[in-house]
Amino acid sequence: MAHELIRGHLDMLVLAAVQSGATHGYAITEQLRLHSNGAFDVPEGTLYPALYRLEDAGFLRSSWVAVDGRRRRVYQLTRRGKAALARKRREWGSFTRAVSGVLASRTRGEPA
Amino acid sequence: MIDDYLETLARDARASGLESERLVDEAADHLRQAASAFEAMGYTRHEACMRAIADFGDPRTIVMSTSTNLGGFMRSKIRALALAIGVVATVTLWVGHVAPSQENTHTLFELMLVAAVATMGATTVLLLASIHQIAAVIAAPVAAISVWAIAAEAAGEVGLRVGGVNYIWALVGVAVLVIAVCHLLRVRGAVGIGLLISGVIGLVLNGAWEPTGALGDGQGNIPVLLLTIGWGWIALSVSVGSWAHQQAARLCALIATWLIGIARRLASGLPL
Repeated sequence: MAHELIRGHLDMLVLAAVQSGATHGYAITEQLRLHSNGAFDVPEGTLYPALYRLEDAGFLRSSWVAVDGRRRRVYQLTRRGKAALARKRREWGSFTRAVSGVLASRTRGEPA
Repeated sequence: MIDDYLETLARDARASGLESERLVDEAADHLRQAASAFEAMGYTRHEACMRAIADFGDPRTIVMSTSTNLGGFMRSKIRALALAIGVVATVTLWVGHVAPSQENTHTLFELMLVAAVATMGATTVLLLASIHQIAAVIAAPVAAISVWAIAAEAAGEVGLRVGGVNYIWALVGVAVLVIAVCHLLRVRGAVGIGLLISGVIGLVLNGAWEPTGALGDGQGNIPVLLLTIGWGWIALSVSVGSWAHQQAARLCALIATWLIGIARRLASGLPL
């Protein structure tokens, strides 16, 4: 899938990946890959700028935890983040229904 | 291998004025997990590390993306303040430069000019947040100008004059040298630093500091322009992220293509 297309929706995808609970960067990339059947195969390092941006915007909060003697940054949704994810879900639903409607009408040969 | 990658990432992050510790720690954790996962799939340690690094992406792209995503300098209040002070300093530089140099106002405007140039230098360090690298960059033109001064002195002894067009070429040479050093050290705003340092050296060559009045009497036009464009470039490269860098890279590529074309034409005319 085109990287530009994914990048445009990366915030929503990351928020959705974090919604199940506190998680770290590598787990988020694995979730994105797994649930998209490998379609969301972006350079993994580009996830971190998105995480920082979302944290900066108040949608995520993060903290260090110790794992096997190493420190790991884990992220979780804030209340604002949950509200933002719900809003993005609604917007995405409206958008996909609209696009599907147009595509279906063209398939049926109706005037667009 | 992963350590080498992390070192490059840390260097690029520092050069871009980012807090590298968090990004590097997270990248280290990510890469180790990814490499372990590849090893569990049956890859050798070496192959696993290679694949983990390849999947993570180019360090420079990640750093530039981080910098742009964080709004560059705006994340840091100090940098935002430095930008504001730098704008005031640039305006002060021009006010002092174009102001009439009457006897009673001369000293005041001289002080304004010196303060403006010093402030522009200080704000550059704050905006780029890489003091040690800028120090290294400054050392290069100082060495170059010393060599040039000695050469000029030697030329003077044999009856040659170094001035006029040569003065312009000296500034161009310093600018190119500084830009090259900045590029090698991966310092952000290379073109801006080059122009800024050339401007300061231009003022020194103009005799601007003995007394400082040379700035105000029209002789300092070129250095003042260089200072203004240089500082503006730095402010832009910090505030608009990768745009300025991309434009500079595009210009460099254009010049390189042009030079290669000339070289090929010259080479085709040579007998084999």
